[in-house]
Amino acid sequence: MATAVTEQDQDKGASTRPRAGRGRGALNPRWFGFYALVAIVVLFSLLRPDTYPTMTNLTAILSNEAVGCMLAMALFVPLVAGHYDLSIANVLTLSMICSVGMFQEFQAPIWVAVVVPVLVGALIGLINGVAVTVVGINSLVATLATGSCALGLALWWTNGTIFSENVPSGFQDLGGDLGGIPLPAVYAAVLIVVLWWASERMPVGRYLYALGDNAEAARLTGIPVTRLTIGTFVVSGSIAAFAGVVQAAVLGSGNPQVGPSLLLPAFAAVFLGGTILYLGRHNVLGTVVAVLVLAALVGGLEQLGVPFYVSPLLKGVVLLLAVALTTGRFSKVRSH
Amino acid sequence: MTSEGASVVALSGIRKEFTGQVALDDVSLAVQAGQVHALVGTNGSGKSTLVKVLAGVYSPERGSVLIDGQQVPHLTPARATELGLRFIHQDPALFPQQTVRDNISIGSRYRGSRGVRVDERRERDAARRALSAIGVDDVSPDVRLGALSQSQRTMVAVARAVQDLQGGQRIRLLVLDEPTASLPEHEAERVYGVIRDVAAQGIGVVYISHDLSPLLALADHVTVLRDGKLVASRSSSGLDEAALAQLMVGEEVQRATSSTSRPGEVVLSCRGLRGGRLQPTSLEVRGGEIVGVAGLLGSGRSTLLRLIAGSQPTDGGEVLVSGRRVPPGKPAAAIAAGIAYVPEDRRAQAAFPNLTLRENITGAALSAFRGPLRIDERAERAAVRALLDEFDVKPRDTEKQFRFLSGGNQQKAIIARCARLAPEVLLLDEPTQGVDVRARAQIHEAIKRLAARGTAVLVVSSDFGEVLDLSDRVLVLRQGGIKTTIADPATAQEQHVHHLAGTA
Ligand SMILES: Nc1ncnc2c1ncn2[C@@H]1O[C@H](COP(=O)(O)OP(=O)(O)OP(=O)(O)O)[C@@H](O)[C@H]1O
Ligand SMILES: [Mg+2]
Repeated sequence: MATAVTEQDQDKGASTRPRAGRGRGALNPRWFGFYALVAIVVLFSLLRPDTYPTMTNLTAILSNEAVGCMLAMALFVPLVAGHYDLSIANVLTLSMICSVGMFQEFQAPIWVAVVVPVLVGALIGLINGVAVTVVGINSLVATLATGSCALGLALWWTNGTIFSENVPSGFQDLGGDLGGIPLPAVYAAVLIVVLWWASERMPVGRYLYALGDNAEAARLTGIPVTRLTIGTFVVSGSIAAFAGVVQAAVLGSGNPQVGPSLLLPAFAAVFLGGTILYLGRHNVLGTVVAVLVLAALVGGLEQLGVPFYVSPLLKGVVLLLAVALTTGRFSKVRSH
Repeated sequence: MTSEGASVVALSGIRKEFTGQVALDDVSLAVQAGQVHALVGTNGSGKSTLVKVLAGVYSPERGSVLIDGQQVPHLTPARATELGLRFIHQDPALFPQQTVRDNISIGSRYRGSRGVRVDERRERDAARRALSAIGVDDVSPDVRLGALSQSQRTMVAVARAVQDLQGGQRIRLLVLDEPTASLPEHEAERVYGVIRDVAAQGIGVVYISHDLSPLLALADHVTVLRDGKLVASRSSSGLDEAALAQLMVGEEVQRATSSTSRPGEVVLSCRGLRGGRLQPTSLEVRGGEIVGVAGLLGSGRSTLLRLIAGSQPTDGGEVLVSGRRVPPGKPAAAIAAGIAYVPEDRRAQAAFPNLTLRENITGAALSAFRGPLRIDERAERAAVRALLDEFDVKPRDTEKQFRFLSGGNQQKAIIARCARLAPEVLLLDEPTQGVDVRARAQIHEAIKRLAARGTAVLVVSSDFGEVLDLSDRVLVLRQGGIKTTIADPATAQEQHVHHLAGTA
């Protein structure tokens, strides 16, 4: 950040000129993410023409990635305002357990199994928000701690086993498909549209970006910093919990082992997303493209028969690259 | 206050304490409609604190805020905005990664848009109107704020604060806390113009500045604070600069005596140095010599210092200290060679806001107190205390967090940091920005003291009067090159320098 202010002493008027060496039009790096997606799809389609470019594979990828995409959105919202929410993956786990637990333990109706977990997620978000704003705990620490508590609760309730009894087929239908389109992808799409609109088109989105940029300035200009920050955590918790419900519907069971492995891909997607469409700025559409890039890449490699351990390895590398490109040394935006 | 009936905004009996320190003690202030009310006082006298009380950022321990004679019990920043109070704080509350348009619209809460959609076109128009209303046409609403120069940013902050003048909402009061501290004279004129316009529309203006002569020309009424107490509140007519300075300080201000040191050997020399905005430039500075650099914004003056200090990569040429070549583009190498640098943007480039005053001062070199395994904090504290005395940094609290120091005291502390290194070469970029009259004299003294010890000093300032006062020799920069050298600044006219630099 500090570098952003070094050079402008004498840059009168220079600001309107594009920076030398930066591509324009179709060569602008903001489009590179899209090109990567196309390149990956074309490459694997050539390598595996029978299995890769098929409708089956597309719907499989869409329904597999819907939950991950929602989780990335959950990470995205507080990150815009400058806070990390590490609890989301464990909130997802807890929510899965709650959802299936409602059937297994209480034979509850389906709507209860949807609403209760989301409320639990919202509550954890509220606790996160209050811890960060009112109590003043660093968001990394606060959400790491609440996330651990959420996981603890999930393990305590299940005693480490998998919940899967009494799950009505109506609930599993929520994770099925409608006329060939996987429902989880539909939920994710709706969520994406809403968040995209809110972050790019509504005043509240501008306030959040401003808040993430300079919290003290936001306070001085009278933006309700505390309320907005708590709001982002509540939204984040709710989205993560909803993703958990969807995951439960897809699997038809509640497994406390599922959540943790989803956190890193969400990070990778959000940070890689910060290099797409708007350079150096976390944004919804860029994040979606990033999710697809990662999915297309991993899916393709799996079809080529690379070993299972390549996927986490690859996601780790992508995360490093993405962060290097958004905020690190190779950032085109911050180091003016 | 006697005139409370007519005043749009008044503060009465305000007391504000910070841990272990009374920042304001029973201060009252009343601003009439259409009045330019100057608030002056030395660094740390409580001016910004008073402004923040008025803005609802700090709630005072005692006293009340009255608007149109009505007491406002719980003032918050949002409430203050609603009531028509507008602020440009000392650290203008801007968002560097957002566009100019968003920076301005955030101030108006996107009034041109409905709740669910930002109307880009109307917000852009509003931003453009707000900017052109204060005579700024060279800033596009769509660029990132971070890409603008310091003075352009100030103008954006001004535009944001006064945008409602066209918008129909009633503004009662505009408060500007040192808006011109980093602006060269002709840019500052624009701000003065805005102040006059605003006051002419019947809005009260509170104006804070350490630049006393334009301040007296602008102000109708002057309120003076000293150590958090009100010492005078009177009409500005019949008040001159010296009398005002005396009110602020409580004693007569000594102007720094002119330097008597005899220049020695050449310590700093640049040969064909170029990079960024700077054309190939050669110069030599002798030990004990103070060389001023005068130039307008964009003349390459700050670039020159950055290239020497290694904070910007060079495109060619070389820098020598006492005949030894300094590797370019490496701040650490420059420091090792004996070059100390006080950058222009204190907040971004010099301060560690969350560390203590002590750590800020000694951070550059700990070797004096460093044993093999630990830092001798007692020795460190003693050394820092001596420096705080020498440079008169207030409060003398080595453990205070740096960001809680007033602006001028932060600046003095940064200079103390450099002085402590006993550098061979000292580079100063705007060393007295935001510094009060007495501190300014103290900083000048300190610079001369360092020169007397044999340091070669290169100082950049937008205040050409200061450059002439301080220097043994002045280089006038224009469009990236040295235009002329003024060999005898003591007899040169400030107007002449303006002419050479290209303003007048
Ligand atoms: N948040 C804070 N916490 C602790 N002390 C503070 C805080 N804000 C200000 N102070 C102290 O209150 C005193 C008054 O500071 P203030 O910023 O109001 O001075 P000022 O008159 O604006 O000075 P300057 O001209 O240098 O800007 C200073 O001694 C400062 O250290
Ligand atoms: Mg101040």
